[in-house]
Amino acid sequence: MIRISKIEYYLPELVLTNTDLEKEFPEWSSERIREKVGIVQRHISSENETVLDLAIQSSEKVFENYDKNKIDFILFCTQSPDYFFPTTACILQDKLGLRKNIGATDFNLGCSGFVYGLAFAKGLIASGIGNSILLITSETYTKHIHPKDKGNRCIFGDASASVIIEKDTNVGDYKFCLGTDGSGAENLIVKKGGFRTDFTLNPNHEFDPENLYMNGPEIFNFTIEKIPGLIKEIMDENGLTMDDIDYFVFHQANSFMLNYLRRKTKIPTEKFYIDMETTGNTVSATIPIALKNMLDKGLLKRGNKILLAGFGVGYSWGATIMDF
Amino acid sequence: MKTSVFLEKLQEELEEKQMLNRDTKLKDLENYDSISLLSVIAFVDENFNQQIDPDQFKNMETVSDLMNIIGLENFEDE
Repeated sequence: MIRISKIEYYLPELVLTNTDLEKEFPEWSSERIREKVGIVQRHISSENETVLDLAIQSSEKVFENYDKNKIDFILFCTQSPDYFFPTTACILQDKLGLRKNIGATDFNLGCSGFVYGLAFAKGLIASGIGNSILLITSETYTKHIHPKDKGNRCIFGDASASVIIEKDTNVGDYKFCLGTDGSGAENLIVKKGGFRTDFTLNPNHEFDPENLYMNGPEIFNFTIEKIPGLIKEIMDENGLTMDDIDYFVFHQANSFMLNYLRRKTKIPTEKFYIDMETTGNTVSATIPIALKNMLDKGLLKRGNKILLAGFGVGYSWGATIMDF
Repeated sequence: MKTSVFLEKLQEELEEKQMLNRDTKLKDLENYDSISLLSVIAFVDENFNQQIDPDQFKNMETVSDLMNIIGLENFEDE
């Protein structure tokens, strides 16, 4: 039903390496970060560089050798919009010079954002509302992180990915599995900045109310509990087994967790893609960036069956299968 | 699980050179940091099929405390 036609991504210029972090936080070894978390560097948006700016870059790249006038819907996934309103996607339509007789909207999701974006794209295409969907996942979590928060500065990076999704009657029509559990809301959160002002900070939060707070162990527990079942469910729903899947591409949060999940779900190593070494955890952009890298490396080929799973902030999670 | 096996496996999981005993204080270990907490969670999940409530980490000082969290009934050679 749907096919990913093109993927491009953009990483902001400023790079924060493990060596930089080691200088600031001498108790953290650069080697341990690389070994356990799987990250060597992450890209940091500059002060006046927003998700819109990143999205313009990744979208202009994706429009090379593609007629942008075909795009009839913009889906913009971010949790760090330029403004409360208007919609960032509306501004992007203008900046990219796209047609005016198209739909455009933002949606607020993180780690599960790309899978949800695919679900929305499929709905738009199946209903005939759109045929060529521009799905952008653009995130700047680093803007929320306190300079002294070594843990989160180590993990998160900024990026934008632009993906064109189109109808294709020659590929499979696969189901999605989506999930939500708001009881996990407090475990990855920026409390101040919105309209909820009567909040209380988590006692473990060491920084300011407008800074990102993440309870790593709680989120790890959530993934261990939910994700193995999700992977089984998405394969069962689509009548497939592990042997049918060429690649499993999960949201690239940190390599320790991913390796553990791979062992727990018994996915063969050669089918399980992990690579966030040069980008860090770019939230909703991790999956499209991974797919693009796999393509460029010659790993991913047209006709491959891929299982995608995104999970995290919300809590929100989703999985689907695609013929690439 | 035999306690001696548990101590060996935990030492391996935490990548520690020193041998662990029940009174070993986790925070005194050379490599013990926030990543180690994730290792402990994974270790308990994999070996005991249990998920630790991270709130319990606050009061967990020694290996013995960890064994109590997992439940002493899960260990032999007490």
